[in-house]
Amino acid sequence: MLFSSLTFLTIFLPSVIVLYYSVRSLKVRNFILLLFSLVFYAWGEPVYIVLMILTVTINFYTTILFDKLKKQSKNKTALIVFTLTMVLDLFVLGFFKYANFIFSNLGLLFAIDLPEMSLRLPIGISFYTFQLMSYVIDAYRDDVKVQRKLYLLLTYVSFFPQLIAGPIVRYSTIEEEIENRSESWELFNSGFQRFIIGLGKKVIIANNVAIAANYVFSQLSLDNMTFTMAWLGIVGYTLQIYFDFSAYSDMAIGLGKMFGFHFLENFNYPYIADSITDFWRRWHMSLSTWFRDYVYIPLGGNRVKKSRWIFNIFVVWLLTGLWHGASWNFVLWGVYFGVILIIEKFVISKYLLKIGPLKYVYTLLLVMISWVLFNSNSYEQIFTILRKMVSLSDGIDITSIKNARLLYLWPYFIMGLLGSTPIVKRVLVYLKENALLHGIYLLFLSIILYMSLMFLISNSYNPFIYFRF
Amino acid sequence: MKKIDKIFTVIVLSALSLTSFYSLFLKNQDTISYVENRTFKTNQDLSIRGILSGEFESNLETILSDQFIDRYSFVKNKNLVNYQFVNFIYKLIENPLVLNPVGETYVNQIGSTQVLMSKPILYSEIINQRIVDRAEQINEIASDYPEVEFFVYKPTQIQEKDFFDEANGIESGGNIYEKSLSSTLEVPYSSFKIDSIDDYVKYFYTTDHHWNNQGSYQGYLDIMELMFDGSKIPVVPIDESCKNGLKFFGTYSSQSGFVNEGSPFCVFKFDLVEYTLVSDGVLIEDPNDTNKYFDMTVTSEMDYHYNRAYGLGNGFVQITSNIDNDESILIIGDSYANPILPLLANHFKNIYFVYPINYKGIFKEEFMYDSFIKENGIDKVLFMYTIENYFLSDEWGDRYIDFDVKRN
Repeated sequence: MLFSSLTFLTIFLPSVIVLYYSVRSLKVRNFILLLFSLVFYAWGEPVYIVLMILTVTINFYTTILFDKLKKQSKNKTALIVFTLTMVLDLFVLGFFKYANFIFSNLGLLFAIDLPEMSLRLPIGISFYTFQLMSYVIDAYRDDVKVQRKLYLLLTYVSFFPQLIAGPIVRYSTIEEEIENRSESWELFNSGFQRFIIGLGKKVIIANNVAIAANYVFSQLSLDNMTFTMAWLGIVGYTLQIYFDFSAYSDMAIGLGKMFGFHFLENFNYPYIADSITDFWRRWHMSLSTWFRDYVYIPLGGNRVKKSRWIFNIFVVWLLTGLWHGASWNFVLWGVYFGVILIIEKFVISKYLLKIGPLKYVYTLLLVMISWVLFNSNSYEQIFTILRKMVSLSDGIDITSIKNARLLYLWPYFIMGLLGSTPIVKRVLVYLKENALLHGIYLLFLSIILYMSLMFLISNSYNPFIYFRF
Repeated sequence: MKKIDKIFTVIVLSALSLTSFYSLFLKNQDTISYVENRTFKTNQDLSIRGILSGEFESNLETILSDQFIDRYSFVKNKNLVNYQFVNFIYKLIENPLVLNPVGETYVNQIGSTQVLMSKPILYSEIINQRIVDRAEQINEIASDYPEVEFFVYKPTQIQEKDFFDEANGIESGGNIYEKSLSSTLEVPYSSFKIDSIDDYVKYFYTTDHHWNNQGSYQGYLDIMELMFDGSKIPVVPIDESCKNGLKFFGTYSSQSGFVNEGSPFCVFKFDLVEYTLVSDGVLIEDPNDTNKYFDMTVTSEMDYHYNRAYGLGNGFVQITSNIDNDESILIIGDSYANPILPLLANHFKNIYFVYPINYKGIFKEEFMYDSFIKENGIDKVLFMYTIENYFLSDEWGDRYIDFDVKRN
């Protein structure tokens, strides 16, 4: 189920709120959240829900088992159980996500006919597997208490706000709140308002700029690619992926608040970053910190020899690329960032400090190029778009945008550009916190909601990009 | 602030939940979206069996959207918002002859005006050859029936004209096609004249591809001139009724999301002889009143069907009038002929009208010219369909083939 769907907005959300707040017992409330979360997942994934429940159950018991073994000082056996749990989690993720990719590439490499694995990727498997792994690893490290109630672990993993497209909420973040939290009208209102803003970001901005991006990346033939269309497509996709994904995080964080949970932020205006290093401190923070804490630092981080450090960075970015999908362009995308980060750390970081505002241009340009790698369907498309982006001799051709019937999208691009900076947020915070202007703030939210409904009712299809990861 | 936030939250969430309840269980389900030109999904499309396949979920979402309270306003406003955005840019373009796309399909507006039209027809060798072939078919049958008079009249559309070539950097094909048609035809030929954009605005609905009452009456005058060369006096309108400001929203409106103002819908009244009209085998009562073709219940801007207004849209029409002569005319045409047919009742005893595509669809057989001409003692044959029906194929299927002169 999509947050930006009428089913969610008009049936699911009101129902879960009414039922949740109609009981006082936290235990029953957690059961209600669990029940609705399973319905939420089953709505789009009626078959693979079994896989999720099974994976959580196995992790639940193996965690209890290695915890017990550790308490009995059987550390080696505990390590084996822990390792097997990790292997199992990675195997399930790998099987469903990478089997097709591995088999097809092995077939190509050895020129043999391997059976085609036509597996469908379970929705959100990358997110919930990583959440589960964070719990198991933290439990093994004694960073969190082992959860003794299966329904609570299942509630944590399947909690509908963050189940299928993040942010990757670590168990440690909500360990306390899952068993002892306090809801309030203030928190609820704040969450609901954040949800509306997220809905607007997705439906009004992301979905509209996506029309231009989809046209360029999916409909326009490479022969007709021009300087203008290449830039239209890449600016459109740059805005789309940010507003699509950060909107989901906004809605998830908002929904979390409505039920008394505090999730960590996942985005911090990544397009105003002054370096790629800074960009990755601001983009999909829950994923980058996950890799930092569970891969990079265990590998030794930067407290190793230079060559090993480079290796560590490289491994993390290779895995980051692969996490996004079983496709060579995701691998290329991850390696691309790995290489840039290595160059930044070892070569150009000191120069970046000296180039003033150009560092923002440098960063944004490299990020936009990365989205070309990320979103293209073929290497030919990547090269054509990149080539056209620098073919200044073509000049700007507004007519081609007009003839593609995309000219009406210009205000959504402007909204996107403004919304990528903290300007809008500052204005909203000012309105929100000013007693006299608070009504304007609520009016603004009402307009966002009306416009979102207007677009939702007119366009029935609006999937989130990150559902496929 | 806390209190007002609380009120805001409660009102919004309550409204959202009541909306779905009302849409699903209380309201009379709507079945047609005129704005999008499609049928709506209703509760009846829900089936529990579709849960595993995902059909239930997607149908529920569509039903909630299709049956949403005051859905029409939401969709219309979305289209209007996007139109205002794009027209803001169009207003910056100084050349008034630049054609600007409106909506998601083929509709363009002339400059930043609210006058809509289709895409200009460009030149193509294949199309030109189709026109020549059709003209030769007409020549052939005309030469086989020397006792029957054959005529060709073409209701011209603005997309044939070259008004927009320079401003839009295109080379339209309409003039070349007209030359090909007229030079190949060996029977009397004429066409509707559009000499300026003002003519288009005067003679056509600005939100539909058809001619209005002024245009169709001018077409009738042209046809009378073509067939009788001034020897017969055309009927003259005795009144014009414009339906109290009712706007006509045509196919261009529906294709562009009803973002522009509709055209005034006016009809002429004529003093016509008594006649009977049988449409696809059904006797039409009281056909003598031209206003009959304009349904007075059309009060909503969503009613955009030209054929609804002019009543026909059929495959075969037979008009039998109470006049003294015994002349019979066969008209092969399209919807442009609809408003003209009753006027011809003052000049012909029998008027037969065939719209080949609809004829084939309704009667499940091709219209055969030879047998029809012989069996019905036809005196005159008039081909009067738009250029698109001479050649169109790619976008509308092999539509032009249906207009081939089928012989037996």
